Order: sequence, then C-alpha cells, then structure tokens
Amino acid sequence: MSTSTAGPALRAVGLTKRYPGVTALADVDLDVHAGRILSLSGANGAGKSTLVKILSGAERPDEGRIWVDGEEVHLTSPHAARQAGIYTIYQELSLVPSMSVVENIFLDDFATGLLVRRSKLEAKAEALMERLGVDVDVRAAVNTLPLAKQQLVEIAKALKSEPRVLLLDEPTTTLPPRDVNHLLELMRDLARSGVGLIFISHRLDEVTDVCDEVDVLRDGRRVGHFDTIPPHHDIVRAMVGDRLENSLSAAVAEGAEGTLGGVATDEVVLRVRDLTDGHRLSPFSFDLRRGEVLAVTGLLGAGQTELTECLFGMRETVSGTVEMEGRKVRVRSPREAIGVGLGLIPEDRKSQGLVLDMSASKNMTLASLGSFTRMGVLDHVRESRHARGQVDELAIKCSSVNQTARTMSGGNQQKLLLARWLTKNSKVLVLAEPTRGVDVAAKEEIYRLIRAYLRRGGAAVVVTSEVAEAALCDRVMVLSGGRVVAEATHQEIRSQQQDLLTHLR
Amino acid sequence: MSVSSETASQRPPGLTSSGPASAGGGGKRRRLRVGPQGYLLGVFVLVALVGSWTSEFFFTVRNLENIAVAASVVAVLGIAQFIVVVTRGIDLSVGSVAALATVVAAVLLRQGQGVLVTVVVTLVACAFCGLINGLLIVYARIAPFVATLAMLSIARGVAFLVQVGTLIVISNETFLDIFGGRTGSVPNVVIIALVVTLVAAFVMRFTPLGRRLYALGGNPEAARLSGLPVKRDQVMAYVTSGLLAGLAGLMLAGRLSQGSSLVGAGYELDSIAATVVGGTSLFGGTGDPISTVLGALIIGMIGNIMNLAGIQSEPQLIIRGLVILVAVFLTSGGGIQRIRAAFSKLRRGGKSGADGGGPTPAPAPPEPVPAAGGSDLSAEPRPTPPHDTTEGTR
Repeated sequence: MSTSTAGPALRAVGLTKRYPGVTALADVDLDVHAGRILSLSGANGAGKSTLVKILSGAERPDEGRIWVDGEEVHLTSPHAARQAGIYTIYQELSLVPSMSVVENIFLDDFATGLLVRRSKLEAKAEALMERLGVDVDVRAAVNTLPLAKQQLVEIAKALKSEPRVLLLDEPTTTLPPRDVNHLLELMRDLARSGVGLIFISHRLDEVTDVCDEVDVLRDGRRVGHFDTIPPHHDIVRAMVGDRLENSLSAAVAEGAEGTLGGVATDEVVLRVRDLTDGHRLSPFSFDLRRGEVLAVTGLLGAGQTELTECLFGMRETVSGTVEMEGRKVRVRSPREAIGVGLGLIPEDRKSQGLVLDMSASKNMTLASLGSFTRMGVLDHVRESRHARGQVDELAIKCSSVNQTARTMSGGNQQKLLLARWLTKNSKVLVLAEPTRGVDVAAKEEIYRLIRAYLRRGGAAVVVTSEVAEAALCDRVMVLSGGRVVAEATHQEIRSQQQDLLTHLR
Repeated sequence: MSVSSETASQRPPGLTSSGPASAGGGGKRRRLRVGPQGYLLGVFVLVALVGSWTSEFFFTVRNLENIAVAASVVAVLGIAQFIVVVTRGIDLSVGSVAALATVVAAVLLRQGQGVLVTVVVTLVACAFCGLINGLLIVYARIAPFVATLAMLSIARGVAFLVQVGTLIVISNETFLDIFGGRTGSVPNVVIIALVVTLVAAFVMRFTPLGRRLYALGGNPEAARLSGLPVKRDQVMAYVTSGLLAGLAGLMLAGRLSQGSSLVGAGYELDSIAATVVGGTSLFGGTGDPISTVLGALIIGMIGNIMNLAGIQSEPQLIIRGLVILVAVFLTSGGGIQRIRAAFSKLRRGGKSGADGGGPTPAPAPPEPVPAAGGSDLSAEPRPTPPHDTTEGTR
C-alpha cells in the first residue's frame, strides 16, 4: 500500500457503507489509473451500485477515504464529485429530452450564466462532438437522436468538464451491437487521452474486450483483482464464489433436503416446444414433470426475463406450442396463463405482485375472487377463514389477515404471493428471482415452501440469476444471449460445474 | 401519496370527537373501518356544530332539507367520480354529461315520449359517453384527464345542438313528480342519492367488481398479473361514471323543470372536491363511496352555513377552497400524524400546556420534516435521504 510515484488517478481505501440490516460495502479498496480502463464486475447485490453511488457523490460512505490525483476529496454531493473530477454516466441518461444537444451539454452552465452566446456554445459543442467522432446537428433536440447518440451527448457533457475519472454504469445494456462497438472504441480513445475509466457491464465479452484490469465484488467486498484480463470463467468464479461449491456440498450432506426438488414424477405437466418471441429470445423447449423444479439461469440480461414473460403471456410469442397436462393451450395474456393453471411470482413483488394498500387476505384471494363469490357477493367470512388457514400453513407473520401488505416484511410478502397461487390451485408456478432481497432465514423458508408445493404435486420453474440457487433444482437451463446454451440435471451439475460456468457469459 | 402515513395509521388514537376505539384487536364481528373515515366524520360533526353556532336556522328541518337536496346531486356525481378515481382515473366530463342528460330528457319529453323511455334512453346515452371515454382511455391510451376533458367539451356541444335554441321547459308531471317531488316528506332526489350511495358502497365492498376496481387502482400491474380483466373493468368504471352522471342530470332536470346545456358547469370540480374531501387519493386504490358522500355533504353544509351567515359569494369561494384544503390535509395528506407528531414534539420541547384546548388544529406544523418518521418505531433518524439524491440525477 505504498504510494507509488505515478499514483492512481482515483484511489479509494476502506470504503464501507452500511444500511439498516445490511453492509452493502465492506472495506473496499479501488485504484483507477489514468489511461486505463477498470472493470467493476459482480453479481446482483454485490455492491456495485453502492460503490457507484459513493463515487458519484450520491451517497456518502460510512468509512473510507478517497483521493483524486493524490489529493483527498470529500464527495458530499454529485456536484462535489464532478468538481473533484469524477464524472458518472448512468444507464439512464440525465438529459432533458426536449432540449437541443448544445443546451444539454452546457446545462450546468446555464445555472450561473446570465446571457448566452449561442454561436459560441454551438461551436464548442461541435468541437466536443467531433472529438467523439459523431456527426450530429448540435441544434437538434436530444429526443430526435437515436439512443446511442444521446449517450454520446452525455459523454460530451462529461468531457466538457475534463474529468480525471469517467464512470460508465452499464452503458451498453440498452445499445444495439454496432453502437456498442463504437462506444468501446471511444472508451479506448478516451483512455489514451489520459482519462481513467471505470466500466460496468454484465457482458463479460465487453469487459475482456475493452478493459485493462478487473475488480470483482461479491457481497460488498472486493474478492478479486486482476491486473491483466483473465479468462471468463475466472471472473465468473470470483463473482459466484464458493457458494456454488458450498451449496452443492451442503446438498450432498443433507441429502434431498439440500435440494429444492427430488420428488419429480414421470408425468409431464407442462410441455413447451420452440416457443419464441421472434426477437430477443431464440426458440426454447422443455418438459416439466409433476413435482419437478426447473431452473432457468444466466447472467443478467441473458433472456430470463423474456422467457418468463413468454411463458406467462406477458410477451407476444410468434411461434411455438404449449401443452398443459397433454392439452394444447394458448397463452396470450396473463389471464389466459392463469386460466390454464400457471401462476407467476414476479421478480418485483411490490410493483408487479402485491396491491400494497390491500390487506393480506385480499392479496391472497385476488386471483380467485370467483371461488369466494356466492350469488355475486363476496363471502368475506369464508375469505378470511381461508386466509387464516394460509397464514398458519405458510407461517406468515402478520398481526391479522387484515394487516396491509405494505407493512409486512419482504419474506412474508413473498409468501402472500405464494398463497395467492396456492389459493388458485395453480399447477405450475413460475418464480422469478424468488429470494432476491430477502434475508437468509426467509430464503430457507421460501425454499421449504417450494419443496412443500412440489410435494403436493405442483411443478415449478425457478428463474434465477443466482447460480447457487439454480444448482438446487432438479434441472438447470442456462441462457446466454437469449439462447439456451446448456442443460444439466441436478446430478450432472457437480461434474459439469466448470462447463456450466463457462456458459455463463 | 400518503405512503408514510399509511404505515403509521395502523391504530390511530382519537384526536377528534369520534371514537375510533375499535381499530386494533376487535373481534370477529362486522368492524367499522375507522381510519380516515373516523376523522371525516369528525370534520362532518365539527362543521355541523359550527353551523349551529352560526345560525339558529341551521338545525331546522327546512334548512337541513335544503342542504340534503343540494348535496344529493353532488353526491351522485361524486360517486360517479369516485368510481373512476379509484381506478387511478379522473372524469372531467361528469358535469357536461349531466347537462346533456337534462337536454336529452327534455327533448324526449317534449316529443311526448313516456317517462320510462325517456329515463332509459337518457341513461343509455350518458353511459355511451362514458363508454367512449373508457375506450379512448384503455385502447387509444389517451390520458384520462385529456380524454374526459375532450368529452367535457363534446358532451356540452352535443347538448347545445340537441337543444336547438334556449332551454327546454319540462312539463311532464310524472317526470317532475319522480325527480322533483317527494315521497312522504322526503324529497325524491335525496332518496335516489341515498340508494345510489348504498348500492355503490355495497358493490365496492361486497362484490368482486368492487374488489377488482380497488386492485386495479392500487396496482394495475399486479391486477393484470393476477389475471383480472383490467381493461374491461376500467371501461366499466367510465361507463358507470357516465351512467351516474346521467342520473344526476335527470335529478337536476326534475329540480329545475328544464333541460339546458348550461346547467352543471363546475360540477366536475365539485365532484372531484367531494371525492377528495372524502379521503380518496387521486392516485387510486383507496376511499369509499360513503366517504365521498360525506365529503359532498361537508362541502354543501359549508356553503349553506356561509349563506346563513350572510357571507357574500366571493369570499365564500375563498373560504370553501380553504376548507377543502384543510379537510384533505386532515383526511388523506397524513396531516393528523404530522400534527400529532408536531404536538408531541412541542410537549417534549418545553412547557406548552396552555395549548392543549384546541381540537381544531390550525394547520401550522412548522417544519414537519423529522416529525413524520420520528414517532417511535422507524429506525435510524439521521441518514434518511439517500435515495432522493440519486433520484435527482435522472
């Protein structure tokens, strides 16, 4: 930790950030060198976004110090961070869509300046855009430009203030491939001109393509640093950590209890053949048997969301067939999906699953109002009796079934959704990231409930970006770039572990 | 939205005169949900008390009847509005549609149509207006505000055209008896409003449709992913709104014995005021018809009191606006919690004993910043504003 002569452009030491109940970032060191591109890699919840927030001045660390060019800085606000020479470009751009390119680039200056010489600014803006190698009318409104160009406007805006360090938070996620290449090229140029860059991307190809160094975060700690670019699977291994190994050995130690499934029968419940949206998702097929749990995994953006949406009728499919218990069915809307016996526990409980201001019991019965209706009238008594039964069965913690969903904990909210589909007697459950954002105890509890559901003759598709979670299931489908690239049974996962990891990209 | 208040309002100890003691551990019996409604009732009683202090005539049968008759139209329109607002929508066309109803009814009656035909045709026409609203909003994806604003203009224009010339006098005795007369000693409009209120309250509380509307407003995506027919329900809400606006129009026609394209202007705002004073959030998913009607009554009473007190109409507008603000602050803005927190802070802060008497809380919570969360449970007082800063960068 001695200070070298040509110190890094940005040095952070011991960054720590605690939120109530979690340590989002624990003692993280970071060096960004001028002229080099550093990749910040890590799975969801590894602490990347917290680190970005701290470096962009949006949040203050609880502990830790930051230097820019050897001088200590205090990033108390986004403005202070920019003053210090650290400029962050978020995935969601911060442009004013209806304003022109010039106006956007010099927006911060409008706060202080009185009169603006338009022609002068336009010339400056043109020079900036030229430096970026883009041909664009600087008087055009930003929202008339394609997304890739908008992003370049954002970068021009950053360059105007001559930053020492440029932080790009998933800039490529929303770009088409051609523009991605251009952006990566541009990043190299910028690095050559002496700027230090931090690049965040879920696509390892891009990381290995453009970056000079890699830092890997996991559970809020920096668990790996690569001075040169390692093979993909080394990065993935660092990202995923020992968890896969641990969960596998745990599975072996505990027998069937260490898995989610293990009770699969031979009877196929759901048969999907060549289903595709004709766009982001290549045709996929699978059989799901009664009692079986199938995992669909992949790195973020590999197509899990699209697959979920196709299955549940939220996304239009152009071809392929779905059979439920041997009968061909059409699933063109969530309503139809539910009608044929599917149930979805969406990724975002709060925005997609629950009606937060409604009581626990009302949330449970929402999909099966018909069975609580007698002669057109809701039977409140039967409804709350049923809800109390579910509360007992699933061990939902609430003061009464009338407690509003908003005031319940994440794990219990998850259980409410499960109760909704148990109430509906769904034959196949699709669970998207079922344990995201719940604590360890709740996680175990949710696993227990999935097991119970399977044992009662249900079948489940668990869509997860946690490899360790996927490894608990009877079968794993690995997605990459919208395509199923690997499949393995629970028994095979262990031997093919290495193989699976290489597919994660 | 009253997000923060929602969590805090689990068991509100009484501040006003109503006794919401039942909230927490009540038995299995039918439970009066006392939340914002309790306070609303408090405001209602308070306004009534002010009325009786203001004028000896306030509590006369005649005056109360005046209030009720005037409020009944607003109440029906308020329910029309409520049904749409609960789905996160808004219907600015209710006043115009009501005017259209008066004209259509008057024209039909002038042509010698029977009362039954008149009523049915009028209501169908108005429901049709609502249907168009609903289709525009759901399928053409036009914002409710805009779609119904257009309907506001169109319905009134159509009323003009149908009317051809000035107002049309209604002379059909049966019609006037039904919508302008009384049963026993009770004006029929009051009975109609009462029936509408009870039916709406029943539908919202005890039928799947009501439940679906609450879910739709509370979280449209969750409703959709639960397989509810959200599009159909949303259209239904606007159709119902149009239908009820038509009914309100018939009540107006009966009271005024005329059809005119000019009546009902401003009623859309009154109906929104009634809903909002009744504690319904414009963000949808909350509120109930009875509260809306209470809101309509409160607004009606206030106007009446000011008339009795001889206040001129211009100051009346100002006072009415202020009262609406206070009422909304108390019922849905989380105002009670803030005031209570501010009081307890005062009490902790020093000798403030003198202040205890006034139950009418002059709404001046100085800086309610720490007050809202600072009660007991919420964790970590200091590092609260992390998210705001990031949001700002979007």
